[in-house]
Amino acid sequence: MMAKPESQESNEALEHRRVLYLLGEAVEKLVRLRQVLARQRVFVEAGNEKPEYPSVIDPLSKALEKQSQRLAINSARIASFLRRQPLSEEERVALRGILQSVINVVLGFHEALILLPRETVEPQVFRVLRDCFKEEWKPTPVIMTNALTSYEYRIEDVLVNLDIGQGELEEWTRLLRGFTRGGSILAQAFLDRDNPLAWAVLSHEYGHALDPDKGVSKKIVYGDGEVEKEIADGDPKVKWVSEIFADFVAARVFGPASQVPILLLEMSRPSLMKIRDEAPSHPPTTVRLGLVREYLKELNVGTGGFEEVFEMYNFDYARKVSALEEPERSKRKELGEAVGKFLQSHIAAVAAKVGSLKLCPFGNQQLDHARELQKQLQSDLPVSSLRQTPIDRMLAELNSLVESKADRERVYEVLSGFNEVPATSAEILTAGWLYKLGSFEERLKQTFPEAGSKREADVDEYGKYLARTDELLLRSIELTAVHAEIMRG
Amino acid sequence: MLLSEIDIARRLVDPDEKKRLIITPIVNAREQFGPSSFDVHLSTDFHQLENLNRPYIPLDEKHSAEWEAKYTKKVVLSADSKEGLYLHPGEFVLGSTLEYFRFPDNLAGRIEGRSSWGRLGLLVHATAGFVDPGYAGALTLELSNVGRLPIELKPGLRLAQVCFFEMSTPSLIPYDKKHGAKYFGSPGVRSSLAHADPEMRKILSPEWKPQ
Repeated sequence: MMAKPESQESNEALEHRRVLYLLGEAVEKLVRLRQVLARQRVFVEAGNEKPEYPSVIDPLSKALEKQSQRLAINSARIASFLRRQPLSEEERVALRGILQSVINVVLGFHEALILLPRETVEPQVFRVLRDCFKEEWKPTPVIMTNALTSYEYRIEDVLVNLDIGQGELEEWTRLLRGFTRGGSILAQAFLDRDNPLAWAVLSHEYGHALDPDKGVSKKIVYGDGEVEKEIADGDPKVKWVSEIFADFVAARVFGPASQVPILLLEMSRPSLMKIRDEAPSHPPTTVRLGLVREYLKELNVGTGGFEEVFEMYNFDYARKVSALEEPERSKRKELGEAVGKFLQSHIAAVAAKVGSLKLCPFGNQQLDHARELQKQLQSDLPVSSLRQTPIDRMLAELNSLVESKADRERVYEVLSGFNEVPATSAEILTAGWLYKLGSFEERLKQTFPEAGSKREADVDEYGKYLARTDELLLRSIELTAVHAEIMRG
Repeated sequence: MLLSEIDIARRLVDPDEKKRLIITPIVNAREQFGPSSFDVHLSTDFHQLENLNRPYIPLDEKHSAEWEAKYTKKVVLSADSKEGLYLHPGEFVLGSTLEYFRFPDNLAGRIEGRSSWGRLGLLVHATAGFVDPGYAGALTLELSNVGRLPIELKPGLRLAQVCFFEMSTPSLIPYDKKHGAKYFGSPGVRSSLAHADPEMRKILSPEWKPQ
């Protein structure tokens, strides 16, 4: 038998990982949506809302149940895949199809959550944003949306579309700028209400709020003098730069984890959207990812632990591009090259502008802290703080205190080695991502036990893992805020 | 055997991970270590049973997430909130420690109030101040005011202290392995799960008759 060429083997390994990520996303989105509905049912049944709502919750729950059953019926196939047991080509295709269809149903259903009572975001969202943006943070509302991606919009734009009078609009604008950054509102997917790991995306959206009217981006593209002139809001070059500006802001405050939620979401979509405009508003994500990686390198921030997701995204993107028909495929390639070339000539200016902002920067030290915290999370502990003194040194010093009958001050001095330093929100969430990326495969195996096992496949098993991770991270964000407050005295 | 501060400290860095006591976060060791105890801070979340919409706590009540949403008032204070939670005379509320604990299987604990707060009439537990070996989680505080003036509470206050007892032998069924360990791993306040006790289920079953 001939050995497989190296590139084929590597592609097969990448494809296995890609389907693994797809499985993780399918199960996660399914259980999170079920959690949203369970929470809504509690809210409604506790008598806080009108009885009409169960008529929406029930059919949605039933439809989700069908998807859970679909995974359960295919659990033997999934279990074999997870354990790298051989699957025929037909089985592999069937598995991919099942996972994609579960995801598609869940993605579509998220839109229907608009029919349910509107919830508010978790208060920790604001702690995270305040922590990351320091002096640049201005209280900005965060609302929940039935869209699956986070976004930022300006309330003025909504008012303009409402066709209200110019005088009234100016008055509103003045009023709104007083209490939100640039009149901005940030929106977060319902699905991610309790999922702090997804909140990293909000740092990108707040990056847009730091570029009101795209004034920063306009200056970068056209220079100071030109900005006085009327530059159309829809100018594609300005829009591309504004996206990169927001990406760099997110990378500056969150490091490599800032990219992960959007990459995973895009990977879960079945295909690439058709390019409708000659110049779309967002640069291709592969281009953005490439520039962010360069930027992180320039900042000397490592990406270890995240490289696989980045590589996987590029693999998935290439796969989706190759599935396109001509001329769409060439159009996409040309667009990517043109946008990439254009942005390359502006990234130095974007990086300089981001560097001038008074943010809480994420550097290698934060990444090291996050790796330490990841170990705590693995041990099922909150990750709100870090101890500075190693255990063996503390033990030696404590033992010496007893032997030497040390005086009070010396005892206090040694005990002070137990003092922990509060972690930043970005460190906590990066630790969460490192933990999740390193553990989700094993948890999927527990969710889909081997054939012949006494346990049956149960997606709720994965739900417990997600809920526990959420719980510890949310609590840690809370604890670190109190810890810092006590230290401030 | 009641542990001294140095022994508490040594248990925090025990080279054997299974015997190690975990307390996190430790904010200010100088303030928190007492001669034979470790001071703990008040956290941000509070639960209180609603009394406006029901006359008593019936045993046969069906506890569920809906039940909790309906009958438990939950308050979360922000770390830097200007206003605190006002505990009025005679009021009872559940709070929790900021600190998350993990007890090894040969160490038990007791949570007690601090004298300064006791003198104001604040109790930190009603009856359940004991912590089993093997327990992990924040400690729930059963806060009540037996004084005559309302007490303002804020996150970060050093309200209570925990003392530690070395067991004569390690427990063979520590709390983490105990059947029906209801509060294990809770990072914050958890309301009563009395209804989950097996004898409660038996008493509440329609077939049950007193002997």
